[in-house]
Amino acid sequence: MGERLDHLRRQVCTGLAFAALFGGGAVLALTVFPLVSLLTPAGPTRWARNQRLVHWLFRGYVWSLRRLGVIEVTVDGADRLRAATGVMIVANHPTLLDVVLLMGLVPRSQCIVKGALWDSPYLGRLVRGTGYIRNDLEPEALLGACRDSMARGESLIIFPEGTRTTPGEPPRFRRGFANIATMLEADIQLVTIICRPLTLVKGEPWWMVPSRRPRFHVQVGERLDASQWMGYKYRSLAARKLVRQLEEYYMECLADG
Amino acid sequence: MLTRDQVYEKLKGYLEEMFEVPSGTVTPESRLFEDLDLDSIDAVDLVVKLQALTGRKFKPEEFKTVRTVGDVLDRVQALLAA
Repeated sequence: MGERLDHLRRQVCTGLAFAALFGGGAVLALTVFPLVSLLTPAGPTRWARNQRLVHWLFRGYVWSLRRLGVIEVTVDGADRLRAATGVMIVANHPTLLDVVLLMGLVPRSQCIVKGALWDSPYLGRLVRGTGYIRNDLEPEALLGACRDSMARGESLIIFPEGTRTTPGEPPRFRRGFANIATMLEADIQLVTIICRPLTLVKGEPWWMVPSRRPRFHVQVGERLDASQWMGYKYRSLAARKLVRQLEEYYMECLADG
Repeated sequence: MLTRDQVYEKLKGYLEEMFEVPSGTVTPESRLFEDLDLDSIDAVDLVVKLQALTGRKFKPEEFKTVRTVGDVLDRVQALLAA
């Protein structure tokens, strides 16, 4: 009985949490973001302020989820992640909450977002206000935007899988992140996200909360130096090797995690 | 001037050397992105390589519509004949 009650309670809290995320997001989009826009000229300064705003919001959001007992979160190496400015942060992508967790840990984060969101009524304001990078830019423009962003000291968060992991399958990485790293000679900070029992996976409705409270474990891993992918005869070979190397790395991390 | 066959052989060499495509699997019908697993950044690298081979400059828009290995050969031939 106690277990069932706990399950129901977490189901209700998860629903509330989603309502808070979307409702709260909408309210903020209509109040705080326009206020920042009013007080800050367009461009990098405004983006930086909005990025910090998103950081504190997500941080508060994760804190509330923990307080409500919906999830548990342990982070190994949070300081190193916070210190990883101006680099690419690469992570696996098991759940819907990953980006919220990471942005709550990194004060100024940048990401590459579906171009269609620019026309969305409330997320559009968010992605424009934070200066996030559209994924439908021409390759040169996309690389340029990533270069500028990291040069400003933002952490560029990338999930190389492109979408959430299919449960039970090893992560399959696309090559885009490796192209950016090899073209821009950027360092990579690796992060592994483990969620047990799994929740909020691809294709599962939010109210399917697992029988036990999900535990998120964020492990800040190695920092890879860009020199590893420099000095190849062809950049394309370095990018391919990096993809294979990280697929193997995550297979190992997820196997013993 | 390079013949189409010579360019084809060179191109197969590049695909193997730069993009890990075994040359035995390449035909003129092979699609660069779907079959040979190239991406848009690879395509830029390949254009640079072909420019070095031919000593001519490609206009980016000339390569926009390229889909297959045969398309690449057509573009290179057109450029060499120009």
